[in-house]
Amino acid sequence: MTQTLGGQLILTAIPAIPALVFVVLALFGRYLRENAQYVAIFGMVFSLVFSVTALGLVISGGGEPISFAVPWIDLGEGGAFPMGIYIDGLAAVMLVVVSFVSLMVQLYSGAFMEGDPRFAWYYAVLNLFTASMLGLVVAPNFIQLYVFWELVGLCSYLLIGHWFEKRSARDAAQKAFIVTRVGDAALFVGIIIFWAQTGTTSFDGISQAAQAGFIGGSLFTAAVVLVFVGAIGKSAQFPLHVWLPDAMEGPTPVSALIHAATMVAAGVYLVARTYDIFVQSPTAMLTVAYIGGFTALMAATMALVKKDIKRVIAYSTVSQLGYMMLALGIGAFSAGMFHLYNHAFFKALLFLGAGSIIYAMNSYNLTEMGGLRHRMPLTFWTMVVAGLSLAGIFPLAGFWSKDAIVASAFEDHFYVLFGMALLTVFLTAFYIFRAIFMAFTGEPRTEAAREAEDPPGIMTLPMVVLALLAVASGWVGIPESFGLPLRDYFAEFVAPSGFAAETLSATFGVEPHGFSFGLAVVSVLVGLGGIGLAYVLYVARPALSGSLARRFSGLHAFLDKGWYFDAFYGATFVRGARALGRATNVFDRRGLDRGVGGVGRGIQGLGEFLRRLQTGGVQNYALFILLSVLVLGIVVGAVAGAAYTVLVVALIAVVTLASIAWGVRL
Amino acid sequence: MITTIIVFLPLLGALLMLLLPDEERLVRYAALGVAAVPLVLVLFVYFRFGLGGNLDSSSLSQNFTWIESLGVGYRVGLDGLGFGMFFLAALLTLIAVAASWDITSNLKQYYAMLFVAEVGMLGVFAAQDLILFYIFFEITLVPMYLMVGIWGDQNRRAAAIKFFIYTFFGSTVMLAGFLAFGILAGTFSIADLGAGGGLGSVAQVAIAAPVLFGLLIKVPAVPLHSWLLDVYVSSPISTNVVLSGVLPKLGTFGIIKIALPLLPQGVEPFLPYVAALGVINIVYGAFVAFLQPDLKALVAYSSIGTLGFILLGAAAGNAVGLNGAVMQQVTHGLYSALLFILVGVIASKTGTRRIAELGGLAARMPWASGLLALGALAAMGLPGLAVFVSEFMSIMGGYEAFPVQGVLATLGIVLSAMYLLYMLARTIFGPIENPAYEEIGDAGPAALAAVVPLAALLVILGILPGLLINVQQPAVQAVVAAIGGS
Repeated sequence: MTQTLGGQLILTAIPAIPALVFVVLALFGRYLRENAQYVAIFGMVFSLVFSVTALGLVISGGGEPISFAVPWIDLGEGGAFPMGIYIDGLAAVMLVVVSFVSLMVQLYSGAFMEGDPRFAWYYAVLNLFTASMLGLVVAPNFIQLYVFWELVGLCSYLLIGHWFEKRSARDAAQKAFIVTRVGDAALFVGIIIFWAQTGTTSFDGISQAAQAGFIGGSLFTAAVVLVFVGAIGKSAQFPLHVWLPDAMEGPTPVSALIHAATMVAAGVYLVARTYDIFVQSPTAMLTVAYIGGFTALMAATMALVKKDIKRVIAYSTVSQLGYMMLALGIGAFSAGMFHLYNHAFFKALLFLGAGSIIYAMNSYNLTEMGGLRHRMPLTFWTMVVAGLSLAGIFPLAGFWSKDAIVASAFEDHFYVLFGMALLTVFLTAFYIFRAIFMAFTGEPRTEAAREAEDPPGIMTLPMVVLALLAVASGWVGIPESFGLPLRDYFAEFVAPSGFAAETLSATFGVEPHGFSFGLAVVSVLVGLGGIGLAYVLYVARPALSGSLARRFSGLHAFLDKGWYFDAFYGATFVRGARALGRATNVFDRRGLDRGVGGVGRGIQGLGEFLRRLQTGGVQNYALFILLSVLVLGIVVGAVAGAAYTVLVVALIAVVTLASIAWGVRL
Repeated sequence: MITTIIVFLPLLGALLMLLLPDEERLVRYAALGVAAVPLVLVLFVYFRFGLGGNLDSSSLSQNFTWIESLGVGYRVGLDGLGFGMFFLAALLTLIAVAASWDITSNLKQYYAMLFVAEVGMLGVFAAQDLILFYIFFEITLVPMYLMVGIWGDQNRRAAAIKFFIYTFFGSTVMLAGFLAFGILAGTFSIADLGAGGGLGSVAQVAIAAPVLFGLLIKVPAVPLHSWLLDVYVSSPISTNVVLSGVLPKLGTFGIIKIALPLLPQGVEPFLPYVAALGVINIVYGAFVAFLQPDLKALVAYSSIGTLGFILLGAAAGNAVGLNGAVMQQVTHGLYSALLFILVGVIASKTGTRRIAELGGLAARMPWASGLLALGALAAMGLPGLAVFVSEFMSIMGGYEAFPVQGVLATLGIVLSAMYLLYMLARTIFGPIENPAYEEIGDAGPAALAAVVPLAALLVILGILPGLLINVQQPAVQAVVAAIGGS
């Protein structure tokens, strides 16, 4: 669908407005100080309205994508790298989610970050972050995607390290950037392979070239898997998940943004965006599914024993992203995206709730909390809503998308993945209600907890709005077979392309799933079981949890240390890089400099001779210059001998000598 | 005519410097003025001819014969291959003058040297004759030698001599190749020497070998780089600006402008190795930089790494790779000059370049730290900044020609992030390590005036690379045709 120029400008403005806000705040932030937030919020409102407009345009166009492009790098016959905008149902929904969550976070941040010495800079980067994610969402080709992909990574680096005076924040930011860059490099190799084989970087062009058989079997699979490794890094999937828990060092509202709408969502979105390419490689699809399933289970176990409330929620994100990957891998495209959409709201809310606790008592530590229910009722109830949604309890938003994933795994006969997913449901319900019970029930365990209070009004507004969505966002995707006079509007709108759907049913036998009451009852019961266990261990008989931890202290430590991934990577990769760095340094100094086959020694000898020659100061320097110019003159003169040569050489000689003679004193 | 004027104007400037009275302010401002004139003229040429794709206009070139029997001539002209660097040479000379606050003795002579060097730097990128190319190539050497040897730090003499001998050796080898080439082909005119100048492939290989060797020393390609560290570390900051920003490109430009299109059959057997050397530069530079205790040495090795992308893209010989290489020459100059100046700022404020003694500067020096971070991000090829554009094209082109080298080059994406973020973490981030740093101020106006234009160009060319690529692209296409047509 071609758009008018005005329409194109409005769509371009969606990422351009926050980018502009970044520039304004970065340059003039120190004059604006805390007024920076109003500039930012004002801009974000426009971005959100335009995103909704884009969604409306796609809906009214019957789901037909809007797309246009301009040349960015034009090499004539050598090819071109364009930049453009491509908005289909998937992209339109993402635009709204990203700009909405960003607006909520920016509303919340003003009070949270009050008094921060880099307040305006914080808002500037928040806006660049949003702009990058929006630019990534509308990308029609791999190069544009990569550009914004990396900018998203940069912004997470800057925000995680916002309080860079703290060593832990500095190190966490560095870890996040480097670990995700491992994925980025893989993604880049994938892009190059696609480009070298097909001559294009556009998603559509590569998909079609692959359908036409332009890319050989194993090379194609390799390229798709490499692209997926990029997604693994960004979406913090096994084995590159280690950066996300440390990323909690950033200000808490940033965590809400990173975990809900930007950064980690980018990896899942990449797989969805390039789904037409992924479905052509069954190997890659299975890789996606099993990495996702394994990550979902693994991260859920890591969340079980954490004492830091933010880390519990962080591991929860890793686990939920695993669900989404699992869904994409088994062909449940709409279910995966539906979960991404629902998850954005309840996960943002969980972080804002955690932020409120931190704001109230300046502690992340669950063991220092307790009894906050009476002091912070609004925070408590919104957290419970978000927790129920995360646990997938009927009829909250999280139920519908999680059920769609679990049911798809069962109906398409991926029984191992189904088992992993169901076990994860249990663990998820347990760990999130463990955190909620520890924070809000019982007696206050510290003075700070006794004096905690709900945050001021402006911070509660985003929490209430998000709580409503955590309940109701999923109601746009209720399957028709549930029996209400509703259709699964979400799945109709955010559907895989016709090509992907055909390929899936041909190679995987995957069909769109219906609603199964049996499975739904099972998964809700499992979730309630998790909540019940948490109730027993942390409310009814709190002594039991302590004695269990002591009895299984090895297991407890294993989970608490995140399966020792950090220790393992530290002992292998980090140590290895340092050893190589030291070795090359020594080699460079001692080995190489002393002589490449004796040349170095010869030069040193010559150097000694020349050093003696020039110790006399000015005169000897002049002599040396004269010699040099003479050498030049002789060389050139031997070939040329013409007047111009003499002229040039003489001129240079005169200038050089004059400058020396003028009074250089050594 | 205008090209000749731009190239030789700095020579007049050098003479003017020597005639000025010994008054520091006057000398400094006069030097700024002298350095600004060629830059303004280059910008005029860019807007008048470059943007419209008319760099081949006859009003920009000059041809007349020196020695008819040998086919040597004074031939200058601008083209897309050299224009970016022609601009950069003029720009960095001005920036170097602005960044020369640490030169306190014999100021006039220092500027005179710098302007003599500028003649050579501008001339190389405008020369259309092999002998003229060589002359300009060598003209840079003597003033650079003196700038390091007289105004450098304690180790300056040994460093300067090492630099002189190494690169003089390299260029002499290169000259031998040029002489053989020109004499056998009957002309030294670059325009007439296309496609091997009628020589057979064996002769071309015999000529290409010394030419490439000489040029690779200049870059420098690992393991021919051992002169670089001492010189870079010992130089005054303003010398670093041109030393790292322009001089390595004399080598890479020689490969792109002369070796590839003029000796296509000669260089062909060497290209996989040149690409491999590029990858070695990238990986080796990153690892040596990783635990480098000296901030300036770290930037020097970072430079070696990013120069590797030029070698890779150039060796690829296709449109994407060559465009990347030609552009990377400029983008590398922008970011390395930026980083060297900021290292100078930090060293002069804190009194040390040892990374272990720094830390937490961002809180006290927000501008200097922010720009240092921007330079480091540019160096690691972050999108939005110009180096990304040239690097990704170099890697893509490199992969298309040599898949193994291309894939290995992507190691640079991770390794560069590793050592540069590690450097940032220990210099500008973290707690303030030394209580004395609580009192230090931010970069002064002179330093900011020197680095802000570089930062701005990194951003502008990162967002609108077409401003440079559209100018160089037709000439690159001609090189691709010359290689393919062999």
